[in-house]
Amino acid sequence: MRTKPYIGYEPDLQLGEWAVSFKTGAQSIRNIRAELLTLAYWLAERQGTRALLVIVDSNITKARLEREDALLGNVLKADIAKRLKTAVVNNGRPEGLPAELGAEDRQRLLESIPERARASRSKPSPYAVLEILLHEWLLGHGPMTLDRIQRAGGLSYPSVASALARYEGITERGAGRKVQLRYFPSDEWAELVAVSPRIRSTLTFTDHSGNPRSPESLLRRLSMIAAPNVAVGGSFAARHYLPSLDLLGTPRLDLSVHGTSLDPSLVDLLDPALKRTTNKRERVSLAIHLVSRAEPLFEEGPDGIRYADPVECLLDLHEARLEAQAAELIDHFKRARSDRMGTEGST
Amino acid sequence: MTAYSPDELLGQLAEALPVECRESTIVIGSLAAAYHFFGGDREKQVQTKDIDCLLSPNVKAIPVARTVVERLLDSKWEPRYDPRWPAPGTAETPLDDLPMVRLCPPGKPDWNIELLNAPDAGDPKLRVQSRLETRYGHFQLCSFSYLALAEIDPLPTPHGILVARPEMMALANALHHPVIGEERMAGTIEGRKIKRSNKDLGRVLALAWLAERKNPDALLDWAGSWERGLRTRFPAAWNTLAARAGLGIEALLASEADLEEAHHTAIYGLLRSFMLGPEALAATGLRLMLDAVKPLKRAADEHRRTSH
Repeated sequence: MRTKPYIGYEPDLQLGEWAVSFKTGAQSIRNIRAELLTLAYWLAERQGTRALLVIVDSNITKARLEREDALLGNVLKADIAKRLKTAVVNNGRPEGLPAELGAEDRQRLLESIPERARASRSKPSPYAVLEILLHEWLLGHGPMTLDRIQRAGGLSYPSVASALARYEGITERGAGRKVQLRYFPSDEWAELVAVSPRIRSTLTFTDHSGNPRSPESLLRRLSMIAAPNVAVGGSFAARHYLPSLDLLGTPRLDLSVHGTSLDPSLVDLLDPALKRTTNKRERVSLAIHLVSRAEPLFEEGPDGIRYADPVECLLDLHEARLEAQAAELIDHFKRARSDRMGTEGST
Repeated sequence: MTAYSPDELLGQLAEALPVECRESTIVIGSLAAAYHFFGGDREKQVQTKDIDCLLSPNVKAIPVARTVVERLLDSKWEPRYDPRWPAPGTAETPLDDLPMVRLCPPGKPDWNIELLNAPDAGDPKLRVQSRLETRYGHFQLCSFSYLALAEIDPLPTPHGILVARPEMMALANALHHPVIGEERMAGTIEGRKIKRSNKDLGRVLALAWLAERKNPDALLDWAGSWERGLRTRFPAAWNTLAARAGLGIEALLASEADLEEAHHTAIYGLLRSFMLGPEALAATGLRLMLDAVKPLKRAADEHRRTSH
C-alpha cells in the first residue's frame, strides 16, 4: 500500500520492498544525516520495508558513508538500522548497492538517476543564449548588448561569445556591440524544441486522490500562496500572450520556477495529493520547469499573475503536443513584431 | 444488505413519517450523504441498514419522537431490538436498560430508522440519554453533543424532510474522535470488526472525497462553514474545538493500519461505486488538512490572539 506518510517524506522510487531516495550533489555529511534520520522515522512506521539512500555525484565516498552508517547504528534500534542502507553513484557508476537488488531493479534505479540529477544542471550555454535572443525577438525588443545577455543568462563572456559565433548566420550586430536575431530562426527553433526534453529541467506530478484537480483549480490555489519565484506557463501563458488562441480545455498546469531546485512545499501547498512521476503513461496534472538562468524573464499580466516568458510558454505547448497552437502563437508574435516595426518606421 | 436508490429510500421514509413530523426530521449519516452526492443518479445506490433521523430542535424532539413511534407502530412497523434490550421498558425500567428506537417498515427487515434527539445547547455532555414514553412502552433517545452541527442549515428535500450538510456531518465525526479509540463496533462490515473511530473518521474522508468530486474547490469552503457552525452551536468553546478538529484525521493518516480500516469501511459504504485505494483516501485527508482544518485552526488562533 502506498500512503503519503505524514512525516512529509515520499520515496523517489519503489523497488519491491526497497524504498529508494536519491540525494544529488551533497557536499556535506550533515545533509546526509538529515536524510538518514527522515528515512529512519519512515521505516519505524513500516515493518518489513527497507530504505536505500543513494548519494549521487557527490564527493562523499562510500567509505565515509560506512562510517556514518556505523555511527547511526549506535543510536537507532537494531531493526531499523538493519533495514536502512546507503550507496553512492558517481558518474553513473554505483558502489555499495544492496546485493539483494536484482539486475532489473539495479537497472531501473540507475535509469532513474539522470532524471533527478538533471534538475540541478545548467542548460548548455548556446541554448541559453538562443532562448534570450528569441525572447527579445518575439517580444519585439531591440538589439541587446553582450553584457545584457550575460546578465540575463548568468553566463560568462566567453560562453556568450562562443554561442553568438555559433548563431552568426541568424544574428545581426548593430552599434554598441548590440546583437539581435535577424528573423525568426525556424531551424534553430526546431532544434531547440527537439532537444528541450533533454535540456529542460522538468518535474511532473500526478494525482493520487482519484479526484484530479483541474488546472484552473490548481491555478486558483497558486494565487492564494506567496510564491514570488513562480510563473504560470503552458496554455494559460499562451492565452495571456494571445487571448484568441484556439485552445480547447487545458490538460495540465505548467509552472516555471526560477531556480535550480524545487521547494517541495510548493507542490504540497498546491495539492498534497500530487506525487512525482516519471512514468510517461501516467496522466500529468502539474509540470514544473526549473528556469535556472540568472533572470527569469517572467512577465506580470494585468491580472496580477506572473507568466513565463514566451519561449518557455512555447516549449510547454510543444511538450503538451499542442504544435498547432505553438505555431499560431509564433505567427502572432511575428505579426505583432512586424506591425510594431511598421509603426515605428512610419513615425 | 440490499442497495437502494437514495432518493427513493428518502421518499419512502418521508411518506411513512407523520406529515407534522417531517420538518423536524433531519436525516444524517450515509443516506443523507448519498442523497446529497448522488440523489439524482439512479446508477448510484446506497447500502444502508440504519437510517439515522435526528429530531430537531431539542425542545420538540420528545413529542415528535412519540408521535413517530406510535404512528409507525400503529402502521405495523416492527421494532428491531438488540438481544441485550429485547423489549420496550416500563416506568420502572432504568434509563440505561431501555432500548433505542429502531423500527423496520412492514415486510422490509433489511433497513430501519433509528431516532436520535438533537442535543440541548446548554448541555456540555458528549452523550445524553432521554426517556421516551409511548403507548407501546418506554424507549431511550440518545443525543450526541456534536450532532448539534447537523442542525446547521440542513438541506431541504422535495419529500419534506431535511438532510444534514455533508461538511457538518464530517465536522461532527471529526470532533467526536480526537484520537483513535480502541472500541470496536458491535456489528461487522464485510466480515470485519472495525474500530468505531476508524469507521467515523473514514466517513469524514469519504465525505471530503465526494465533496471534491462534485466541486474541486469544495474543501476550501468547508473551513468557513465549520467556523460558522462552531460559532453558532458552541459560542463559548468554538475556538478550542476548532483547534482540535483535525487531531483524529491526523492520527488516522499517521497509522497505516487504522487508515486501512477506514478505507475498508468507506469502500463498502459511501464509496462503493468507486475504485479507490487507501492512498486516495490518504491524499484526500492531506487535502482536507490543508484546505479546511488548517484555515479553521488559523481562524481560532487569530480569534484567541485578538481577544486577549
